[in-house]
Amino acid sequence: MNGIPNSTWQKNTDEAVFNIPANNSLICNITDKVMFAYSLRLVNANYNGALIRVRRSRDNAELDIYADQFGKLDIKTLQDFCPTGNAFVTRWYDQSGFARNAFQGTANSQPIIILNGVLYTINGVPSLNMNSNRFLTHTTTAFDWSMTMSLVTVNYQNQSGTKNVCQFLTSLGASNNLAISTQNFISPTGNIATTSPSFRSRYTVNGGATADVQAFLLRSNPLLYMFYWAGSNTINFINGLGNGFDSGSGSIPAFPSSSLSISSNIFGLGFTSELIIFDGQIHLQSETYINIIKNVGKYYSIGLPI
Amino acid sequence: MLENITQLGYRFNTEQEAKDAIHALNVYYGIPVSPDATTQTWCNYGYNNEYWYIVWDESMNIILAEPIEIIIIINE
Repeated sequence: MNGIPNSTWQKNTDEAVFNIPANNSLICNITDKVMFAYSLRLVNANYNGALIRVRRSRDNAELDIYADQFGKLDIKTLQDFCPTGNAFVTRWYDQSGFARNAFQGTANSQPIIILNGVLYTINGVPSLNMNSNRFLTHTTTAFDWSMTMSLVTVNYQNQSGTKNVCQFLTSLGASNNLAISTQNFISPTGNIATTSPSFRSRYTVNGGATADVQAFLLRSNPLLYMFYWAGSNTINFINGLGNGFDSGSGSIPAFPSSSLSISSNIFGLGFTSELIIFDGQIHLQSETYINIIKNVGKYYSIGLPI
Repeated sequence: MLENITQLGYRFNTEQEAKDAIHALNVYYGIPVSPDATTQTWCNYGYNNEYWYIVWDESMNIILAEPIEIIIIINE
């Protein structure tokens, strides 16, 4: 397999959006609330480091890959480093300024970015394959799940069954500790996705079975999620829309309130190009919200109502 | 929630045997390439309350031979 079939995706023909935007339009410069910023493009004008570190299969050598002059991943350097064989991501550098880098030191668990010399892409934009137990971890302990946070992630699922869009695991296990508790959200195609009761960052579509989920996923194109959770046992929001429920009752367990204290996979399965986490709520229709949606939507060719 | 699933892999009676198998893989593949490389091991091992195991992938065949069915425990 050489990545996601391009026919699945709607190609953006507006080349202008791929030019590096003005400094104040990069996500980390739209708001000062960014806590984590993982992306295969530059999302912070003040960040000068590498975007990722890769390992090539030929000799296991590793190399940092930076952004090019347009703020995109320097694909030429990447492909020169790994013209054949496979390339795996060993580090996804945090651009937030807090150096909360994600990493994977075990070779056969590392996400794939090049398979048999072919770069994985979404809408022509590089993406990481995190299927088959491939993931990245981090060891940040500096925040608490009682905090209100928001996130935006560009993620494509091509597997059947319920899915994680993003996951924060702790030692007690996913069913008790997934911090993202999406009640429901509306995809660009208008489908309603709801979380699985016992796996709170996973979702099913319209309450349907696996087949429905798969159909949803296959026709959805890249999905842009922007949602937040507000403290423990409180209301959860998707794209600024409150869908309040009592997470302490029924089959949905309460949020954990302890600090994240172990190495944890914070990425979902499937293909991921970006995951940015914000401190606090990003309000629907706020200038920050609109600017972020515009920025991400244009770059990844994702249509979302603002 | 802990769940037992069956996968192809390698079974070891002692933890040291599992470590030795991983060491053999690391030597064969030249991992780590340097002390500061992010990649420090080819794979990891687990324990299912009965035996230690390594989950198979095809890169292991040349060192560890043919895999067998093993039971692993995942934390879902």
